[in-house]
Amino acid sequence: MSSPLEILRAHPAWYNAALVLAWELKSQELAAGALPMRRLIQLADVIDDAQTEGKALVAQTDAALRVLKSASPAPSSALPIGF
Amino acid sequence: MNVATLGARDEALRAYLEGDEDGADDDLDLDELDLGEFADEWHREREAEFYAVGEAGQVGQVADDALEFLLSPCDLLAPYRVPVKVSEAIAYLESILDPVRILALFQHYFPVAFKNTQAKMVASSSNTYSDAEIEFFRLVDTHLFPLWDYILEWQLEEEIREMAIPVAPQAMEVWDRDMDDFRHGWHVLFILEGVKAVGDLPEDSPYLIWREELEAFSRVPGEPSPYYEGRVRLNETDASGPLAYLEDAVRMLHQGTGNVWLDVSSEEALESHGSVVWCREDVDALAEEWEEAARIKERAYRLIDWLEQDTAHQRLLIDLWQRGVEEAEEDDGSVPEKTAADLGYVQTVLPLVDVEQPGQVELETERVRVEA
Repeated sequence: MSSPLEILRAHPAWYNAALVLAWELKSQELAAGALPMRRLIQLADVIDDAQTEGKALVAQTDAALRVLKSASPAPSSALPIGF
Repeated sequence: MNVATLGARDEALRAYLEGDEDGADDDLDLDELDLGEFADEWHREREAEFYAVGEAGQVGQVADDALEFLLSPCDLLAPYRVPVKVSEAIAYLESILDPVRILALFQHYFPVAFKNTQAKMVASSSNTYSDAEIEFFRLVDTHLFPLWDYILEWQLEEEIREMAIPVAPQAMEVWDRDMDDFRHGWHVLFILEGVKAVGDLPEDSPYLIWREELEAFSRVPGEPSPYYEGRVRLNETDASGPLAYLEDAVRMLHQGTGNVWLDVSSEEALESHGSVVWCREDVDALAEEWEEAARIKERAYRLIDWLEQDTAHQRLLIDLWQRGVEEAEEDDGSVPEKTAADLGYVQTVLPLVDVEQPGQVELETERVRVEA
């Protein structure tokens, strides 16, 4: 998958791993009070991975957007059929 | 500011806190609005209104204190807001991860202590360490490698928390310190190696009886010593005793051991603060390096213990260096057996020498460069 548009389609902002996990943890915190630290320690790798993945997706999306913004309009004949 | 504007800004603030930018007043561009400044202004206006009432009604100190809490809704409500942007989510996870990473290391390296600890694991604020984290730092300092109290105390006082490991450098830094700061077993060796002068010896030093002999070793900084030139040779008897650790002691005082704990000065450590962080890879690497540093120190201090046992041992040291000088005087200028790279502390002893290919540049070449 290399097209900037395909990258953007594949990574909608609401499916960002960091956002999903942050939403989940914060919701739990608001519902039941501060999350137990010992439980969070068990989740350390999960949180770390989600944050790393979330950051990477943002960087990938930003890069795709930059490519799209700097791209010149192509003549319709150059577009794939059915696009 | 009139009431209508005030109402619009209140609405904008409410919308911001609810994460609903569309609900804000059309006249207010939240992207460009500095919410911090806006909140301050809002705070000042409420405060003025409150005091206007207070002057008439004689509001007391209790109400005055309560004002601080009542008039900072942004600060009060922010912790209850669910992250709705990726940047907010990443910042929230980061705020959780910092203490979690440190406490996960506590559990990994000291599982029994972690299981039994009664210390609080949640800090009183996001800018400081929890009691459990501080307990972990103490355990690291005792069992893994030395931490720098100076930085830790500063962080606790200023309420600054960071993921950088505050490593405590162990370099001798002889040049910047007085002779009295070191055990007297080192003193003669410092003079023989040219890092201190005879005049630096304490007034009651027992080694002043050899003042004349020691003064012969006074050199300009950077000039190679007989040891550096490979002219201090031990016979078989000497080499099997504590003098076998002479190499470790000399490398330590020149900060040329090749071990980061013993070679990096305090100033360099401060400059590179942040280069190692609280993660398993860095903690393992530092602990392993510290084990090696401790072995070097132990060997060097075996020699120092021996030198302190009897002044005759110090005298033997002086004789060894004198023989090296005599040999150099009789020498016809041929290259000594050891090269600079063999001795390993080229850059420390001779900072002006540019060693492009360590191990291949011979001492004779360097000597010419120094003289030039």
